[in-house]
Amino acid sequence: MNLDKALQTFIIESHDLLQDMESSLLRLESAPNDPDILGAIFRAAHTIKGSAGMFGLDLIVNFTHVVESVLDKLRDGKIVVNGEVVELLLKSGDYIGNLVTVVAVNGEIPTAEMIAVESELSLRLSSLFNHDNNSLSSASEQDGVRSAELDDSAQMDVWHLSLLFGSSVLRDGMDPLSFVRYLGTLGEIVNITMSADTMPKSEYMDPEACYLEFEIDFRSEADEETIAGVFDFVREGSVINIVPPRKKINEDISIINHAYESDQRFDDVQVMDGGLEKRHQTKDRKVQENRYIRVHADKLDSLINLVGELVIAGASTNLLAARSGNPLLLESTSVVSSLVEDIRDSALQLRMVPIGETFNRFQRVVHDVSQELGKDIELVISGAETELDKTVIDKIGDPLMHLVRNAMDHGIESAELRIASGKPAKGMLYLNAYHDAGNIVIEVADDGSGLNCERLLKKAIERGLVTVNANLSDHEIYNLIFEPGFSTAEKLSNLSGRGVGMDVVRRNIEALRGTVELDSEPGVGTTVRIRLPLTLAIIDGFLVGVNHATYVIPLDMVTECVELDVRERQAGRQRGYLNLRGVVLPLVWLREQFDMMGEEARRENVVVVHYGVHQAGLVVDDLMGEFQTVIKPLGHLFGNVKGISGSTILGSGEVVLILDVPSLIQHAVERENITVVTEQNRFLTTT
Amino acid sequence: MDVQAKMKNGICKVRLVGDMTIYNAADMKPQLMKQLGRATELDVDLSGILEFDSAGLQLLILLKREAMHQNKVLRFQAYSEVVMEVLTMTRADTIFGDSVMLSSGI
Repeated sequence: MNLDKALQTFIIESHDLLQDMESSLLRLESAPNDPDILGAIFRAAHTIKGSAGMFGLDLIVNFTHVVESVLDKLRDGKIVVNGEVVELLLKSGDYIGNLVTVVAVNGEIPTAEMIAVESELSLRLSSLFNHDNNSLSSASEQDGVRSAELDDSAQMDVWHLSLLFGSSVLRDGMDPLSFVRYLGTLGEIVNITMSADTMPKSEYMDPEACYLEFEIDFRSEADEETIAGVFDFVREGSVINIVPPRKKINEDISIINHAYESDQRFDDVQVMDGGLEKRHQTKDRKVQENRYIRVHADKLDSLINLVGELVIAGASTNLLAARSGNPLLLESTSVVSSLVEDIRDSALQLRMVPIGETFNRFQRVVHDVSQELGKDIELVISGAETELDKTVIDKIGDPLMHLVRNAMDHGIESAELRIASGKPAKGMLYLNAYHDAGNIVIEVADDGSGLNCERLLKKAIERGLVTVNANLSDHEIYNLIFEPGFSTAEKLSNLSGRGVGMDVVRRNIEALRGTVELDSEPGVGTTVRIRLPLTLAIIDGFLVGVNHATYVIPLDMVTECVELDVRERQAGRQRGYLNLRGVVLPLVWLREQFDMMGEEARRENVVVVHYGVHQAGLVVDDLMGEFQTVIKPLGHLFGNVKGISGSTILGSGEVVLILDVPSLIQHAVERENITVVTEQNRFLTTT
Repeated sequence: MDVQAKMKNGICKVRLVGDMTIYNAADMKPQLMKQLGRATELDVDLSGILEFDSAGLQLLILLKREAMHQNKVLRFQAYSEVVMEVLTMTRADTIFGDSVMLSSGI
């Protein structure tokens, strides 16, 4: 069977809802009786159940129903929230996620193992409300009836309407019943299920607020616009979802999309292919959500590509205009290029996502792992609103996971040890993100015991990673941890310490053109800092010329440009560094770096670049100014070329290479260290 | 709206007479809850209701649900025409007729 789009929407929505449910559950631990949180959890389960019912996924409906019944009791205060209940509900949420994957995504039946898990969970869940068994059985009976009805609703020519009226409609002088009555004049109401699940207990129930919800199966010849039009007057504050009959869905999607774009009347009355919007959200969330649309990532990618081409074509037009010297043409092209620049920025902005969601996922990880390890650890998140490219976010999850687990396992000591060293028993783990010079910096920090420098060095020597007499700073020793095959754990644990990992973390991050470094202070804690480029697509570049070739340096990394003095030139070449206002600045001669022949230029310039804490000077012939650079990846063939990170196309059609500043800086810094060490060695041998 | 109530053999007989709409819902809610508090078994006569809208419907749902939560017996009896029309339209007639709990499930 061809999975139709509605089912896809269901799958995505379910995972989102489960995610919400999970984070709410975790918040519940600190605020056990917050009615908002309990309500949110209930609504998530409720929506999943309802939607699963629409697809006849009875396995999901049945289990979710049990969970929902427990949540209902929680909401009414009949079951007391405690760690055990939260734990159980978290596991149930996981299981629902599993079910969705197995049943809805793969279309398989659950394995025996899963069924065992389910019966255990069901048993534990139902034991929570054994005093009220009757209501459960009658409820599931009713539910059985309902899913049978819903199977019918999957019939080919039946519309499905899901109506959640806003709480103020009654006060505004409108009566939901009259809308249903009017709907009845447009066709035949095959099935209708009314509920008032959002209605609170009597003391909080506002008799003038509306709590009614309807699920209606509706057979009609009318078109979408007519049906949606029925609800024109209540659309504000209400959630109205209209699912066309299945057979019409596919042919209608394009029409609806079109209507959606051209006619803002559809603003709030959402005619959706899936009809699975979260119906039971609080009002704020509703307003927010209506402002979002889900777009396939591929569409964004192709937009970015097109913008890239536009930037290149624009550059070429600019060049031609400049050559023609026609002032009117020049003026017009300059307007166009500033627009192109704006388009480029907003197109890139589209792909930017706040990192908060990724961070929040770790609440659960920290919760689980701290239980596993028997440590009390709190996760503190800051900078959640910091945005970065979606592709980068997708790839940063695994390395972060590793770092977080590592910090919890090795970084933070056991409670006894912590108390013994005068620290609070509760360990703290921090996730932080901020922007810095065209990069995003993500920090994973703990307040644990820190790294043991001597032990690290001993291990590194043992493993042959460094020589005995290597002169390393503490910072360098700490970062040995990222070398392949390095592990300091004295005791292997389930979580980390297998000696794989940190080097994989570094490799993953380097694949994103990022870097990772580690700082530690014994007894105080450890901070791992990941630095990543904000975007992988288009950057502002700085053009430089060497010999006859042109190179691009990412503008964000350029600090300043200085002319290399004739006198300094000779000295600088010998020493390999420059005295820049009293600071040692290691130099890299690009001409030599890239083995270029040809005459030395009469004059040379130094472009001072920085990356993280390091600075270096790149020696080039000419400075040619700023240029919008569309990054084109290099082929696999050039994947291992050091010092180059990509290529781009100039307005003239010339292909130029983009310099990989981090690796060039690293090269310069390393070479400087070697020079220092050899000088020291020379000093040692002469004495 | 008039709420007439009398106790008979430990059963509270309630008769609702007049309109049951958004215009008097705020007044009615405490009155209905008061009646519910009086007895463990109630018969509610709906035959005197002249106008009935969503607000009225919600009050009946609330009454039914509260009764369930307090483990009390509550029966609706003798629907007037307007009430019947709404209950039939929303297919809630069966729910009000027998004692299936309304608040569970959808």
